Amino acid sequence: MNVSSDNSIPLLQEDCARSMDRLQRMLDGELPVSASDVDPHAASCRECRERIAAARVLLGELASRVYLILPAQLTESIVATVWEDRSSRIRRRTLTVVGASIIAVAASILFVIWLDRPGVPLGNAMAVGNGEEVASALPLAPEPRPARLSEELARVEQAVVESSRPIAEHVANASGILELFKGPLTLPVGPSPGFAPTRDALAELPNAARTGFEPVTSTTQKAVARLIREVGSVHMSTNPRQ
Amino acid sequence: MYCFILIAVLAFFPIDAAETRPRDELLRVAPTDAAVVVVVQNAREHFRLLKESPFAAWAPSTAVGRRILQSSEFKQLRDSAAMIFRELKTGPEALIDDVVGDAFAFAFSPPPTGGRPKDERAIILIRPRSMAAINSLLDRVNELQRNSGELKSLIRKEHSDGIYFERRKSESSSEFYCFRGNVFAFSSSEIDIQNVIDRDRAAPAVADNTPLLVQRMKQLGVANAPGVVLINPRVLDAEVKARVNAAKPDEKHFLTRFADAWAALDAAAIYANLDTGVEVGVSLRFIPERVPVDLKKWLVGPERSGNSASLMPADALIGIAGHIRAIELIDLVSSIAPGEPDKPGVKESITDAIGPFFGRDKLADILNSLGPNWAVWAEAPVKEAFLPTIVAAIEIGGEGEDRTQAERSLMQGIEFGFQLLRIAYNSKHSDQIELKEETDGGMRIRSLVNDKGFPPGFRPSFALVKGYLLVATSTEPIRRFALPTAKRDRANGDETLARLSGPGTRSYLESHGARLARFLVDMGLVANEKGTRDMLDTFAATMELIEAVELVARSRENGIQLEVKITPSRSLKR
Repeated sequence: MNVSSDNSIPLLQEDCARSMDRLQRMLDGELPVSASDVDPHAASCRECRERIAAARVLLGELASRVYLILPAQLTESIVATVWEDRSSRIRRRTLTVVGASIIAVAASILFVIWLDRPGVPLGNAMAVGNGEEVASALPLAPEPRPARLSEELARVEQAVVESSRPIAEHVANASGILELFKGPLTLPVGPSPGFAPTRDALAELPNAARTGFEPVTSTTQKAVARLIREVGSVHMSTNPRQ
Repeated sequence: MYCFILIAVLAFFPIDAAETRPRDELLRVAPTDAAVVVVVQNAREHFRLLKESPFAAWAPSTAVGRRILQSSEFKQLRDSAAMIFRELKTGPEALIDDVVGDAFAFAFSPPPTGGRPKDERAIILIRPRSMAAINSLLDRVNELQRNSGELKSLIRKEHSDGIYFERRKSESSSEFYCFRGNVFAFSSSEIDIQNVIDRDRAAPAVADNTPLLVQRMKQLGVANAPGVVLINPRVLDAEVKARVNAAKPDEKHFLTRFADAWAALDAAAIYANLDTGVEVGVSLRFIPERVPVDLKKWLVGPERSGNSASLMPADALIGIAGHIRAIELIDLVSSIAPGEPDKPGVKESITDAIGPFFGRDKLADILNSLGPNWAVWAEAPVKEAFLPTIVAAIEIGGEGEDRTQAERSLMQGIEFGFQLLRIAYNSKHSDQIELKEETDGGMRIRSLVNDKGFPPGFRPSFALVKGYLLVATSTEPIRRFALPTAKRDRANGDETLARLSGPGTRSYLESHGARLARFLVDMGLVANEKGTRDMLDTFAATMELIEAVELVARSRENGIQLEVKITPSRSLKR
């Protein structure tokens, strides 16, 4: 069972599919438009975020027109787009996860240094009740809505990955350059036919090693994805202390 | 995400060994059975050092730095981050100083094999310096999320007489957190928060007992690294076994050996350290009695004493080196290389392929005499050439008549190979290769010469020099070959396995990149000359940031460390 890359697929499928389902129900009128506000997956998935944004525009259009005929097969079309795009997203995400730590570090060092300014004093702690439910029935966002931290953080995430592209490209170049010189090194003579098993074994070694390490790489990949999900939507709250 | 950015930044700061207490407090309540535990420690001091470093002052003026800073993405990053800090009423320094500057950890376990994604476990732990600061920050975040409708309600809960809180964001989406002593814990899974409370109740105080995860870090030699990813092999045993069971026939052998070594792995860590440069590595610790016999030498063997990296000249562009006999290398590769059972193995096929060159009866002696010191490197082109000169140096071991016989067989075999090349080439080309011999101070160098057909300066040559077999694409490095120095590569026992020179590589690509790209197109190796040139230029620009990159191996008690040492062009420490 080749689980490494496959293992990550169900996670992505499930998150995106859940998001799509919520979106579809919103489009169908089964859920209020605000349902998309609380989609945690959207904070960490640009594609889903963009689809939600497009759906909101669509619903805005619906609200401002008397008639709007939705294209036939709209749902299928959206879902097909999701699946069609999935493979490339998984590849991108895999690269992001594997390289994110290194790349983000380099970009972030510059980023933090660039941003470094004397900090504004911290605000006062909010009083929190002692009841069973210390805050409930909190009001929904008024219009126009205030800035949403999770969306801004998701933008930061995207910007970190995008702005570190120069370094990522350079790293990718290094492997490309190595590929360039593989040819000349093997050009002068073709290997003896008897050498073929060794050549094949050596060629297969990196793939086999990759398969062996897949439990580690896929787990690390999932851990990074989970960490991004956890902190990416600002899962922090008030401070009732024991 | 911005915590993630900070974590990434902090992972590259050094740590004062004395300041380990916050880390210990944090790891006391961390799950010891998690598959992966990320630990970032003592970021405050590290951040300060990096911010004041010559590298930080210089990097924005480099080509790569300018490209990043001038990109629209970076502008977006800057704007979004500035907005977030403004909204949170804090700044990066305050956040690092007071909230995440002491210790941060993230523990994760995947769902069991066949389990559901929701069965995965994850917890974030922060040990802030200032409780007031983290409280203010949390309040502010809460206020913002309440105003934006992201937070619906906050519910106080209890578990084993401990209090924790549920942040309900929707009917199906909640988050949980608690404070235990000086540690803040957060998770989107309720049971993980309850487990933190249980561990806090059960675990002895830090003063009485070093937490298990800290012990592991110490055993792996990464206790003071600012960024560590601890890996618990036992959690992944079932998955490794599943890989073996599902392996294709040609992968089966390798994966079985891999599983044997994995079963002997006691603990592992990926770590990042920083001093004047960056060090990123993997540390492995084994249970010696479980390590397969033929792998013991490599995984838990005695400290190696190779000095083969000093075979490479200091100004080499790039090179690799090793301390292993050819016969040992073949045995090692044979024992792990993938292959199908009904086909010849590595050892058999090598015997079949190169045996006739040297004589099958002499091959074992020759392979046994090759090594242990060897190196292959590229150096700047000789005069008028544009291709880098490639050199391979292999020590010839042994004593007396055996050694003499091995040397003779080796030279005859290589000369025969050169002759074969010459004949093969000459039969297909109008320009012709000659095999020439020249002597220099008792050194006999044989070369393939073709001034018309070969690129300028390209003259494949070989010779026996000072007990080493040298093969190079020019005679010059053979003439000036010097024996490796007796001293170790590094005082602390590091063995350098590979090295890259940033200035050397950059200088070469800037001088010869255009001709190299043209040459590769002419050889039919690439189709797009401009694309290749751009790629080489980009790589050269990257090298502006780097003085040197080294891959080193370091023996540890019952284990080994492999580390990439990056020396930047400017120090990362004032």
